[in-house]
Amino acid sequence: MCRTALISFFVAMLCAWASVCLQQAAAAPKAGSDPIIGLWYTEGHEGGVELYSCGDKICGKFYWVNQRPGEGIAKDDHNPDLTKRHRLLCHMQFMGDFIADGHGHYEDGWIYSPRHGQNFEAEMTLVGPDTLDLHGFVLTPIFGESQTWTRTKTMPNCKDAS
Amino acid sequence: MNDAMILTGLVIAAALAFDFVNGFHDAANSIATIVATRVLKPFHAVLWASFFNFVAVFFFGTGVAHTVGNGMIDLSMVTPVVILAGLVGAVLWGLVTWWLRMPTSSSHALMGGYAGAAIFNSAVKHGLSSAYASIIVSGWTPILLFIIIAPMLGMAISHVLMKITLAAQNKVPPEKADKIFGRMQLVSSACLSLMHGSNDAQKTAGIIAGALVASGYFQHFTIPPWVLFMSYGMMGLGTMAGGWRIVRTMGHDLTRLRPNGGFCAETASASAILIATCLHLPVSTTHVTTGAILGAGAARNVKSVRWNLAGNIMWAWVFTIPGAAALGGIVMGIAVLCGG
Repeated sequence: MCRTALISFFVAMLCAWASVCLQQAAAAPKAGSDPIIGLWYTEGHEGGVELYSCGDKICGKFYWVNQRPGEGIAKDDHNPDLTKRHRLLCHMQFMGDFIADGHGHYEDGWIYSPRHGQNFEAEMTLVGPDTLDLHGFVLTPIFGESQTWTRTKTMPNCKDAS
Repeated sequence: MNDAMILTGLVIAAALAFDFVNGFHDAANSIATIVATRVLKPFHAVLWASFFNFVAVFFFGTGVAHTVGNGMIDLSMVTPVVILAGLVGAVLWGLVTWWLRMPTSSSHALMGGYAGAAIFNSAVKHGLSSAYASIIVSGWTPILLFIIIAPMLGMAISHVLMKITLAAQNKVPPEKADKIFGRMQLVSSACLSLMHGSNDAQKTAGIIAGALVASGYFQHFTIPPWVLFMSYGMMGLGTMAGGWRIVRTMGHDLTRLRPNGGFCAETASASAILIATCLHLPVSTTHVTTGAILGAGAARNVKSVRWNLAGNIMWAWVFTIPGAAALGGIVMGIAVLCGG
């Protein structure tokens, strides 16, 4: 009698624990379904970015580069490493290592600015389902610069222009 | 010890020095009226202000939403050495204006020092003709406009509040009114310190935390309580060490305040800063508080305000950004000469 009660108690506890784990797993954002993943226009539509999951982090690459008609695909002309100046910006990964906190904030990332050939520390915040605040900074977020990005469902692919 | 560690140590030391000088200026502003009206003794006023500056963290968090120079300076010209030079420039400007007993904005000094260092860095990297390319002019317009608007806002709210208060206490004996407003000033002063804590005081804690991340001491950017305690403690020490020069200017020399005037000035400042914070307007605590003191004094009697001193303070505000920029540029120059 006592043994049956004890087993029933442990089974009930196990079920309760399993259901809590399942609920938490369902609630936790999966890397593949993170709300930030998708296509984004940068501020002033200077470029288009695809944010994607890379392992358990978020990375970003150029999906579209705003350029004058007749010009070839933009290259990484300002990279301080001369051997990299020939590489095309199209589909180049230029941001990464962002860790999601589960509340729409992504920190500890980096971003490369091809205009300056320089890397900055960065964080991102989803301020709305289709609005993203990207903050690049030096040393501490206090000394930084913010940009607002806008989500889009479709965007011209820079590969098609090549 | 490598160069990066030395640089991190210097940035932390400069941030703490900035906090100390901030204690001369901004923190002194928030206790000036309560000390002047003798509601609290100076030491108790510092403790009172420090406590509510710190408590602001629990109300507003440590999001460090307030950035320095966002949209004002080309980030590609910013390096940890530029930040260090900017901080030292701001500290030097704070010391100069403290010596002159002028209540100037520590935030503006930091922006100026930071801009000056970035301009020098740009000149070194791209030549003299490109020195100012690091400055995004459009980003500076609201800051410059609010040097005029912020004190006007504080002055207007305080003036109206003081007029209402004077009308309401018409039949109350002055001694009784002083007692009532003395108690109310404890609340208004706490609100002002709370707003200061949310608006300004977290900046240095953020700089220290950033330097600790860069040095590898922290894995992620976070502001732990001990960094906050250190920052607020340093600010409190600054106020105790030299804040009285500014307290005297704000609380005695500009106009003589009674507890009702102190209450109105503090309530007006806290309200104006709250409105500005909600609307993301770049106001300085110093500018708003000075305007509010003038508004409360003028409501009692326009002649009780020393307008020539108010004019000198206004000039000090106008010269804060270029003055701190010049000092930040000089410090950056020294750093470049030293191989920074």
